[in-house]
Amino acid sequence: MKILVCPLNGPRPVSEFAYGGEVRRSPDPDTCTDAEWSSYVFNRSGSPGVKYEWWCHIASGFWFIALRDTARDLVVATYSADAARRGLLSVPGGAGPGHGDATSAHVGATPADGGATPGHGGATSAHAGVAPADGGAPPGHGGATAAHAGAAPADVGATPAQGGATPAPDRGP
Amino acid sequence: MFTRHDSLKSAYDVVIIGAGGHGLASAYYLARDHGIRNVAVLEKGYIGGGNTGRNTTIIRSNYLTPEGVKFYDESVRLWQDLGEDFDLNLFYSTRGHYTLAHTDSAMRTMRWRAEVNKHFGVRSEAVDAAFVKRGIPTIDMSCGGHAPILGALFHEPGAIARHDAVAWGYGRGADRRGVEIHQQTEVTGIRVQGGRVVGVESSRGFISTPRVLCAVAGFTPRILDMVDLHTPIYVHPLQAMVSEPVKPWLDPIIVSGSLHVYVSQTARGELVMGASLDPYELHQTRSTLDFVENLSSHMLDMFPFLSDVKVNRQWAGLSDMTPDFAPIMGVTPVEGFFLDAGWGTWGFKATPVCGKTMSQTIATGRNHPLIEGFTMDRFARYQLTGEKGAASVGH
Repeated sequence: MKILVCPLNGPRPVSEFAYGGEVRRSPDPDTCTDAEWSSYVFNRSGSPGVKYEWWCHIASGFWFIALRDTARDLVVATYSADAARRGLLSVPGGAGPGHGDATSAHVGATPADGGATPGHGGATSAHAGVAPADGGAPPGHGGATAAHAGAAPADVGATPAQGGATPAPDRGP
Repeated sequence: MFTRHDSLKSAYDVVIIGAGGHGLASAYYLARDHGIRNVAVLEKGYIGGGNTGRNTTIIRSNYLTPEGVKFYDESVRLWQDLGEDFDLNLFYSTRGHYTLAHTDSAMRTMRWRAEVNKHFGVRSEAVDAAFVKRGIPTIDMSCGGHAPILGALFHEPGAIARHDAVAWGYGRGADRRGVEIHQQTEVTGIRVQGGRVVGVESSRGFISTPRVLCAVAGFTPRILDMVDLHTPIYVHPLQAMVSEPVKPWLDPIIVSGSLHVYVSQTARGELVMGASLDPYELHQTRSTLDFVENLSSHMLDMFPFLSDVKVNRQWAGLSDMTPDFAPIMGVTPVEGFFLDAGWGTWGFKATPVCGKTMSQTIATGRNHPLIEGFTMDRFARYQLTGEKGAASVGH
């Protein structure tokens, strides 16, 4: 079973969570064009990449944000929605998630990278101290998350990638 | 079986990205029906190695929308003599197809589908529990006591076929007519000038071409990035598994939306089984134990006597899903760039009709009438083609 680190409940099996889709910024419905609105309603960034996503821990009804590499099935970090809102969603042109509140950011050690047995949940308590706060790219329409995702994982991604390789030996069948 | 070409030409009339069933069928009909033979099919892996070789081979036309029913019915018609056309045994086997209903609301959908189907001349009937029991004598009608079967949508033309052979048949037919199939050749870029396609960058160099067909299933968003087109397509893995071969006992194809199972038995006795999509976006084809556990549990609800049968293999493919569970086909805002995508979990059965309609669309530059309900601009018009009710299971 894959493990996802909930900011409220700690490491839990991924089957306890519901995926809520990519974090996206809504255009202003009063000023945007019809084309911008329909694009927001339907279009998605379908290519693989490191994306901010909504997840919900079903049993506790707790919504939060995960930064996840959809190519490697690797959760880089998870954030409480509150921390993320202050960092990611409400700072124009600015800071990534965890900004000024990095304590709530966990490294999610989903065992995706090594490709071995799911169920390894080690390193889940590590904190991603390195917030991608200086990602810096301006959040344009629909691009807020992508812009950050492009910048952030270069910093944050390094940690779990290295850490992820190490515990391979204790992965049993 | 296929000509090996050592080098690419510098220019082609049409370049098709993806040597799966859809790409090869398009190449075949371009050459056979439209006389366009200066065609290259570029494949980064090998022929039929993507979702063509990963699906559960079910062929049916019992859809929900008029657009879908007409389109898939034409495909079922094309399947009938395809083996003769290819001079290749496709193991096409008409079995009958039951979509089980375990709730009143499911029965209502079955009646709806049956009426739409019959209106367009497709043989589908809403049937009661006794009919199901006669057709599938070995099934536990109570499904373990928690999901009793109330009835079904019975679709007589439902069939299975050998999926690899479909790609080989189309590929060989195209190859013999002069189409070049280049495997191990990855498209790395598409050159567009003044809103028109002028060529394709590949891992083996630049090719000049005025027309490109993208038929790459789960890799569609990556290709669309190259031409800066945006679609609702999102990618989730879809897993499947196969049992050890056992003596033939299951003639029809069985689908249960409530139990998230579809199953048929192949000519060599294996049970081919599939279920729902994996629950989140992922661009990987790794199998999971969760999948085997859940699917096996629901198989045993229907057929408890299978408890000693072993699972031999499991695998996954990348499904390019759309919000309305209908494909995205035809011309695009980039002139010369044609799309055959959004095939999600429902693409194999459509292989022949996709080849037919996309080849005509490429040859004429105008959408084939059968694909007008599937165009890319339907989303901006909020005119979706809602096929979710006809998806095999509740994804």
